[in-house]
Amino acid sequence: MSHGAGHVEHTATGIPNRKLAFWTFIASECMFFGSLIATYLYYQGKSLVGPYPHEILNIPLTTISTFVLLMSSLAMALAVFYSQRKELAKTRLALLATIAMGLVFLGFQAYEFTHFYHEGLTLSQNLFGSTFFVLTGFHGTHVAIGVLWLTSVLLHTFRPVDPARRAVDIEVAGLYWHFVDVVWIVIFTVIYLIGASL
Amino acid sequence: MHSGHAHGGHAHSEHAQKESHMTTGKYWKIALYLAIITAVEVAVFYVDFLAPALAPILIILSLGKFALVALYFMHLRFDSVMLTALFASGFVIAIAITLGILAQQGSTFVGPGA
Repeated sequence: MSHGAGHVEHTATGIPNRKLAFWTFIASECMFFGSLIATYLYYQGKSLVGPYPHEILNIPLTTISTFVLLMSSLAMALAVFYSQRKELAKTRLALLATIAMGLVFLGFQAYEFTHFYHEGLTLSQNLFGSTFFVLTGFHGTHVAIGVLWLTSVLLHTFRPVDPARRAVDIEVAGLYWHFVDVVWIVIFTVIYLIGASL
Repeated sequence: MHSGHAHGGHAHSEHAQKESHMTTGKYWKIALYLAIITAVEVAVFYVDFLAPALAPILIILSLGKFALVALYFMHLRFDSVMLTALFASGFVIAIAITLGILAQQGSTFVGPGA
């Protein structure tokens, strides 16, 4: 499983159990976000009052936050790469970079939510407000949980742990982070780019 | 992409071999592609004559980004096909839910005055 690592558990599938279980969880998360995105699409264009997407969405700002999240995925991939090669210092640096970029993304989201609120878009203002805040709110919550998880993983690298086990732990955390990024790829396209053009 | 084997050790060494084909340089290259595709998406958004075809263009570009992250960052390219099947099953159901809900678009929308 990992490059030059120590003990690796033997499983019937050849895949570490935690990794297999987490992919199952990711499949369920696909359905969760799929239903939220579907709901957004269903109610798109049906708001009776504003603010409407094309009036309020800030594409340049969201492009920057999207770029930040994509780069955080790179940092996370590098963290997994280095952990599998037992390069602990580089692993910690990459994890720290991922956490920092995750916090920057959350900062952008917090600014956007606050700005939208002051512009009159609230959870109950119209269908766009309801669906937008629920979808991006749940995504933001996932990012926040990811930041907490990665912080825990980073702190855990200072404890004596079997390198192979640590590599799987970081890989599983990485899967979560990349999935959160993938969901944002869809949200950015559907809500921001396509939504703001209507 | 290799299939999972009953003997964990053999599958792990196969995976390690394939894993060794990824380098930090390749990860940076993937990130560059993701950044370029994002820039193209935003550029397309601002090009007026592409407006009629905006949605399909953006969907194709975002599918490309999705594939890059799933295949390389999430390692599906190098991992067991079982993991791809697991992810795909959730993804397919999500798409089916979306299409099923959107198929209801034809129903009459009743406003607050009704």
